Amino acid sequence: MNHGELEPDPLDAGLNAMRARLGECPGASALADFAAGSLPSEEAERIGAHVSLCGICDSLVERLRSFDEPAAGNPPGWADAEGHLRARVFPRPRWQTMLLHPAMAYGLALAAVVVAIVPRRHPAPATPPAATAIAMESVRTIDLDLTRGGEDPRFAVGPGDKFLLLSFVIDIHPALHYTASLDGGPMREVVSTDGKGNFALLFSRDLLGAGRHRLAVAELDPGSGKTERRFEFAFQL
Amino acid sequence: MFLRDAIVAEDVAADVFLKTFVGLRVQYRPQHFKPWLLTLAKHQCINHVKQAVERLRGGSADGLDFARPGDPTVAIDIESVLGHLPAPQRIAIKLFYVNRYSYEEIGEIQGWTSKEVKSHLQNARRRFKLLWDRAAQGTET
Repeated sequence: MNHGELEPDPLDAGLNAMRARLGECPGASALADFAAGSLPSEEAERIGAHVSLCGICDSLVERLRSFDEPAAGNPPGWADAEGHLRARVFPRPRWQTMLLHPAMAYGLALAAVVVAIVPRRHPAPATPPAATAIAMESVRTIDLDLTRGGEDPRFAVGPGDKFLLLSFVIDIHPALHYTASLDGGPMREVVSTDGKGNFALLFSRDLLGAGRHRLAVAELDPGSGKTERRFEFAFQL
Repeated sequence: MFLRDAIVAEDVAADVFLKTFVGLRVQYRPQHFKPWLLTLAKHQCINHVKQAVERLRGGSADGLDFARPGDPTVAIDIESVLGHLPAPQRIAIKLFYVNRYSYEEIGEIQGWTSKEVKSHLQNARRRFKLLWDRAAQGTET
């Protein structure tokens, strides 16, 4: 092996000793805590010893150091974003749910029309109409395990559904990699959300128009690059 | 910035969104939302880089050949000198000599062009030699 100037004999022996001590890289959580300086001293020492040897972990720690900088202060719209997320995840009280029901929306719209017309007949002090626009993005879950019956099931998607979450479960092997392709598009690596074979892939609604769609999942052996198995999920929107 | 590729960053952002959506119900605490989200994003970014590194090697980076004997004393000296190099040079040296990645692989890991990889390694070698010689002279005198 010739690595140029850096490897005359004593250095080579030193590098070998470094490689021998390299060991396994710490997990994401430990590394992030190390970079933040929030680990107990003994643990910090152990991870620091690894980082001083390992180029990958050294690089990750360097990147983590600049990770917090852009997050100083809240970005624009932060409070709204948190509020929207919370609203979507946690159920609303019954009275709020009723207010957002389509029937209630039609009722309110009708009432607004009546209110707008009636004052012309019976003039009253004018009040400006309140412009109410409820912009609610939502994630629609499509359970692809339903597609295994043979027929392509049809899923109803509303205009407010900005994202589609395609969920499915397959029998996975930890040593193998998985890729997915939507409607013959590029294959992208996918990872089981729980490590047990449950997958949840998020797609923008713009990518999935009305009609038939096909999600193809391939199981690959990273060593040989060979496709071991293929799974196909066909569905309609 | 962390991932050094806009398309990869979009993929990871989608994963973070998904995990946020799934995890919020269980882990949401109003006063801790921002740090929690930041931690989630950090972990997702780290895991993404590690998975990319594993793919380069076709598995774990462990199991290197340690047949030749090492010298722990020299190793400590090397680590000490490496500590004085600027981050890109230090990382380039470690990735090449300790982790044993090729120029091309280092470029992929770091998001550097092949020219940048060569430049960082050349500068690192030059600086390392300078510091190494200076340290050796210091111990001799």
